[in-house]
Amino acid sequence: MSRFATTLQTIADRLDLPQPARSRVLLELAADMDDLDRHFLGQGLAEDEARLRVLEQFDLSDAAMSELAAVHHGPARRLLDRLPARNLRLWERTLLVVMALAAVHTGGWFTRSSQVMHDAGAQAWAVLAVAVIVLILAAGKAYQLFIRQDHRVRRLRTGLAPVLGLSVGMMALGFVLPWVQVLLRLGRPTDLHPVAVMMDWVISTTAMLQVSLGLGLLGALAWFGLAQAVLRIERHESEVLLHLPHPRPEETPCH
Amino acid sequence: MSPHTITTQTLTRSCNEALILAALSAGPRHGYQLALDIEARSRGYFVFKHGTLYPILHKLEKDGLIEGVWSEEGPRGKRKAYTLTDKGRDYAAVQRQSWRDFVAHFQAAAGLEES
Repeated sequence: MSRFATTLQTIADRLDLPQPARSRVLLELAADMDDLDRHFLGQGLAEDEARLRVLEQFDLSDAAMSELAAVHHGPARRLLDRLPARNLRLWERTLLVVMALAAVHTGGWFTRSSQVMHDAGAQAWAVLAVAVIVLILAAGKAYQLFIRQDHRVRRLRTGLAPVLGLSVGMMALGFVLPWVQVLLRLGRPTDLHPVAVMMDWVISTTAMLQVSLGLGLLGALAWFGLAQAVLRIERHESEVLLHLPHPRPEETPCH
Repeated sequence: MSPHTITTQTLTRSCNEALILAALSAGPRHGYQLALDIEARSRGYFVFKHGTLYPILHKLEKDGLIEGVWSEEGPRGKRKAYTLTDKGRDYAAVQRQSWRDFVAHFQAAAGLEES
């Protein structure tokens, strides 16, 4: 059992690195602290003195932490780190708004220019609206994981379930909305022959299913990719938990 | 950073790099061993706090000058040792010459040359 479990936990809490760098750094520090401790004990130092000397040697300053982060963060994260916190939030919100506007604009263009969307009719707007929300959520999650490289465990799965839920919802809308359309049209007088009305409905339902299943599948694929990334990060995090022993209750804090 | 560049701005960084690369030229070392070796080789003049060593090591590894190798050492678990790469060996050789030049010019400029 490591005598430095508490110190390592403190370092782990302060270490803002993406996985897998974070787990590798922590494992390296843990191993070297133990080895240095053995070295001091081998030199004849008392246990307490050896432990204190190791803690003194491995007291990572804020500057050292920042330097470690600078080495392991990607170029996008290093650029973001240069921005003051207030500017960063503003920049992220601006990016979100621009993305939402771009998604709406693309959706509008797709609706106007696509024969499938034309055949699906007004009911496809509901699916498109959900698709825009899924796009924004998935893009936000991708930004967190790959650009900001924010791999804090408690935030990893936030926002992931809605991406899948809404994607499934889009597919469900493709089955439900055509029947809602039937209910709305029942009893409404029309000049068209019933067969023509039926054919219209079949064409619009087919188109609607294409749109909802297609967009739903894309959303589910996006969820799958993000979920795999989250799983990889969690696996690296668990590697640290397996190899770093947790502090015993009687251990005193290092400082 | 170029091994030819030793300025007042890069002095500390170049010094740290040169000491680490020199220690590694003796063979593979774990991180904690490097600090102890440097202290021993300089007879206590250069003392590396282990906490500040790791950013330097990881930067050198990222630049391809050293290579970190993990090994499973029985019940003690995984350990990481660093070795010099060929690129690191060449870099260190050029850097050593740069330091010799630096020291010679500094001695001349500061009047430290023995008469």
